[in-house]
Amino acid sequence: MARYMRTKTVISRQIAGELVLFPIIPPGQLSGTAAANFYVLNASAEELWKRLASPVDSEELVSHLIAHFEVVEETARLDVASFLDDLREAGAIEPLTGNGGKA
Amino acid sequence: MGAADRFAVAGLPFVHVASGNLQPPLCIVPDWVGSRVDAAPVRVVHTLGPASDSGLRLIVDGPLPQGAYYLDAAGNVAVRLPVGALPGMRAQLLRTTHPGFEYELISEQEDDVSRLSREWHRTLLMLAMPARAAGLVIHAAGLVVGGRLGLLCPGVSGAGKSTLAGMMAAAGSIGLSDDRVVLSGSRSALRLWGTPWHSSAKVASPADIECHAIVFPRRGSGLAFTPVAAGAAARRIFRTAAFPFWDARGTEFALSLIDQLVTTVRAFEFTYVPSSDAAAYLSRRLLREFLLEIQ
Repeated sequence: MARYMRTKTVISRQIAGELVLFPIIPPGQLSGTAAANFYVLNASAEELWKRLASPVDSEELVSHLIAHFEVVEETARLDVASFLDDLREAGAIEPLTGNGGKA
Repeated sequence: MGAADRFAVAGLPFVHVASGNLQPPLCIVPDWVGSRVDAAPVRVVHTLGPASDSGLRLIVDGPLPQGAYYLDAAGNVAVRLPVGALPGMRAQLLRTTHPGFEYELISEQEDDVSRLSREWHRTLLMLAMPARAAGLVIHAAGLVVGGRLGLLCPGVSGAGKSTLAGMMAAAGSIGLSDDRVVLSGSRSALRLWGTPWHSSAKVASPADIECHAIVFPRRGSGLAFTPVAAGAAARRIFRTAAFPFWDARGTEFALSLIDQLVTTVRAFEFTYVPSSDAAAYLSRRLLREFLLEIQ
């Protein structure tokens, strides 16, 4: 199972009490617009983001979500999958393989 | 420092140096008298040569006159306008020599050096301000209400900034800009600066003032003046700020400036139908609401 971790091309910062992610565009990744893309995380997404400070797989994130929020397993799986998709698309996380090497 | 400079915007003077026989630009926009000078100059060296993107990595291919953004091998930003930005124009390339302090503008033909001076100065300011951790260009109107209240009105195109600025200026407020405002600041008070880049109301002043209030304009039926929470205000300002999205340090600075803005300055949404009554209502509400801040 793929493990994920934050990339260095995203800035996370508390703005007015909310955690906001700002991806920095790496060379070669076209955005087509100069407008800033950003992601404001809700409480559960913020918890998942904290866990992604070190390598973690989706099962661990699902378990973490169930343990900390009143959410059933099916919902937690959907939420985690959607969260990981969004962050991958934003370039905020990357899959790792083996002993932490990049895929 | 302190005297006005006709090439200064938001406290930054632009010094143009031309190589060879080139003539540097004569002005930013007609009638712009320049802001007071509050910082070391931005030096712009004009050269003649190929404005190629060879050796540069494309990061954003924006529409004209924004141009395409690149990074060079050192990670510094470059901006290129392709052939045909204006009829008869060849390509131009702006390269960063010393971020925030020195840039080289390469033109392929002599006649192009002074053309698009207005657009290039806007780009230079957008690059230099966050690179110096000095400020941020915001898509916003700026006003001085009642002679002492500094008002920032951010909004995307079509939000009603220009209508609001024109309406307020007609009712006695001083307009800083109806389209682009610079927000500067550090740990001290935040300041708003007018710029030469106006919109349909043609409001453009080199004045500056402390930022006391944020109002998001919204065209609608009737009048409403509604508080906006700090987090929501930040999300709306993200959409209007010129982030240096290729530069982690500059983006960190921009985010900290916006955090400082929304956590120290109260924000409201103003729904209005354009009229002199609406302008008078907003002025009264603001001066009453922010009485303590402007004393």
